[in-house]
Amino acid sequence: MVISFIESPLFIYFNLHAEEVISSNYLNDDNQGIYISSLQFETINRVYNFIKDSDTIVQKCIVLDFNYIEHIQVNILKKIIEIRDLNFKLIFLNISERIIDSLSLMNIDNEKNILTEEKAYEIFYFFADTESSLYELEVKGDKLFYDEFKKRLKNYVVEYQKPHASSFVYLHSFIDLKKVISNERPFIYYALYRLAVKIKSKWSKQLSHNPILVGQSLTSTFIVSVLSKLLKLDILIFDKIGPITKLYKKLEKHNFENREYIVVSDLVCLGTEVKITKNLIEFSGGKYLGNVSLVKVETLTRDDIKLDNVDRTISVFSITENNNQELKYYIYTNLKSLDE
Amino acid sequence: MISILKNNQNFTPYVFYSIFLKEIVESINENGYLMFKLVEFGDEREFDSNYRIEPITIPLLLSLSEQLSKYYKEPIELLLYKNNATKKVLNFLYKSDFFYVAGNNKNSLYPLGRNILKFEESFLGDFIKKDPRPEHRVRCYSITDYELSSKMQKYKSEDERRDFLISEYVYIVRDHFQELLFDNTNTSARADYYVELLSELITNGVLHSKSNTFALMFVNKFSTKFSISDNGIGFEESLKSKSESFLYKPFELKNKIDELKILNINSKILNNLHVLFETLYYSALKDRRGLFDLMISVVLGSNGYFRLHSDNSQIIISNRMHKELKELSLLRDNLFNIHRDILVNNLIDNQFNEKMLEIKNDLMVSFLNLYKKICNKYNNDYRYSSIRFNNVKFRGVHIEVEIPIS
Repeated sequence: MVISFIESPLFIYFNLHAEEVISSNYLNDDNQGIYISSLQFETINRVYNFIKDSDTIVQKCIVLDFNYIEHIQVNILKKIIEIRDLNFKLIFLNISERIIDSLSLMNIDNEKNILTEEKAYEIFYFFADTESSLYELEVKGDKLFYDEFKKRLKNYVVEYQKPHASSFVYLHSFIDLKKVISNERPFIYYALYRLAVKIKSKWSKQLSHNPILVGQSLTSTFIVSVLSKLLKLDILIFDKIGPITKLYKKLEKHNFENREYIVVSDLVCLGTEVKITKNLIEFSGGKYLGNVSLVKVETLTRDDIKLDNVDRTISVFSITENNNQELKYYIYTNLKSLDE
Repeated sequence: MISILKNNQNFTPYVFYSIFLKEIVESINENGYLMFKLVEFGDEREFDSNYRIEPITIPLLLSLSEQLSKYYKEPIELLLYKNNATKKVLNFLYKSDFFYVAGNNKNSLYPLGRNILKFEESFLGDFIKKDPRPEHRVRCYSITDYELSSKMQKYKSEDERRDFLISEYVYIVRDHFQELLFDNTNTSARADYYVELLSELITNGVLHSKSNTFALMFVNKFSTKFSISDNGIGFEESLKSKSESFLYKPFELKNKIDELKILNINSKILNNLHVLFETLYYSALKDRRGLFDLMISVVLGSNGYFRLHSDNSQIIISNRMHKELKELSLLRDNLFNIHRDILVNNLIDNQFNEKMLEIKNDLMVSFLNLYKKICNKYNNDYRYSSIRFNNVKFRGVHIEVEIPIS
């Protein structure tokens, strides 16, 4: 299983840290979550086999993203070279100073490779050609993920035949994230890995107090279960909190006092469920840190809901004014616009 | 009957090699069989005896017991005593899992018993309250565990199998020892590196011995120590399987130092020391990082000690040889860099052969110098030497690494 494989017209992409997290947490029982920082032979061998066994790859270039990798098992450079020898050009992304030596990058003589101030490489061309169209490529891990996620998400947008009321607004369509999660494996694990990384960077200090991840629907329970493994956090499930149903289970059994909580959802539209859950947590004495989701809808501009706003959702994909038409997603009300 | 722990004598690896092994041979020669008792005076003098064991001796003790039990085809008997004098050491051995690993435990909640010692289990339990750190446990690794042996068959080349095993052990070792590595500022900054170092040593052990490798890591106020012990074929047999290349001719260094005759030692024992040198030399020529590089990084990188024992001899590599090691390390890096250049730039012509041979010859000279220096020191005063010889052969490879707390 390779989770981070993304195809682009000219190259294919792998995120090696995401793959290492899978090797260590799922294929081996090493409970390091996303905190693992070393890349092992097994992971690179898995990527090698994936490429070797695939007969649909037509691209001639492979991009390997080394983000968050701080150590590389000795002698696995040979395996990376074997990938190259399957007749590909290699481009590396996000090389930290500590792994330059293990990858023998100093043996590649190419002036296109430029060290940053931190003595690292944002991009490294693992070949020495003076001329190549690959130098023109713009390769950014975040952008690749965004495009890939959008491409896949499009297939799960179901348009309603008539106005659909939800939390006192009408929705034009419904994004079936439950189906996304069921059908888009293993890619969905890569999305969840990215969500875990975002949570780690947003609450790096608070994570040491072991906040609790709160799930509040069937799909978010799945997300919570994966995140709990990746972030080494406990989970709490609130059942049946939805915009329509209001059926609360008794909460006495869990002691909320002085604990911190992160609310997890699959999709945050207007944030009604999140706010209900937030109120429940705070009413019970817990501290609400914030909320995360796979997909969020940005109904306000980023100026109107600032980064430090506790109600701002952390997500790996946003539906915004830039893509809502393409995704056929729209929220409206029964009111007439003033110029009509 | 041989007592393992003597009154007022800490049972260190040094005591193990220099005294304990000898006693065992004498006892076997005398009685034809062997039995251990845990402490010298048993239930007598319980209020004026003091027994101590250096934790990193435990892997050696297990490794030796395993060899003996294989020889006698049954577990070796060990008499236990539970009294005021033994309660501390019994408590430590028990909580370090020594009795689980050595006995016949089948309960999967505890380490699998390897059936190498037989003892009265009713002596175990109801211990003093003091618990040693839960990470201070002796571990047993075997190629037969975790289905490693069958998973390994997927890889064709020996190097790949080794890389695969190292990566598997990284995941296991991290779980076992990472907490301890965080306790020493010297090791915590390079925890990933040390996890890998241990995995590589364990991999060597299980590959050579094809059975059990015992390991333990221990941290105190002064240093982090770990000890890894196997019953394998040893270095000489492994070297015999290496084929000749343009760079390496089998036993080239050894043949040279065999002729030097600086030490006046039994030739079989001396041969053993020379094999250790040859092994390090071979490792320094390879296109893969290996034993030589581990040793250099422990000594030059962390100011630590690297003690390598096989069969009859031990070599202790430390900063006392700083100058020579530095020289070797520079040459090795130059050579390795050429290996890497060839690999990375896919250079198939032999343009670097001459340069490589030149470095190889320099390495040979440096090794010869190191050998001479060590031997001359030994002749001067063997007590402070970095080499030690034992008349009793203790099969396998036994490595101790010590990294001071900076």
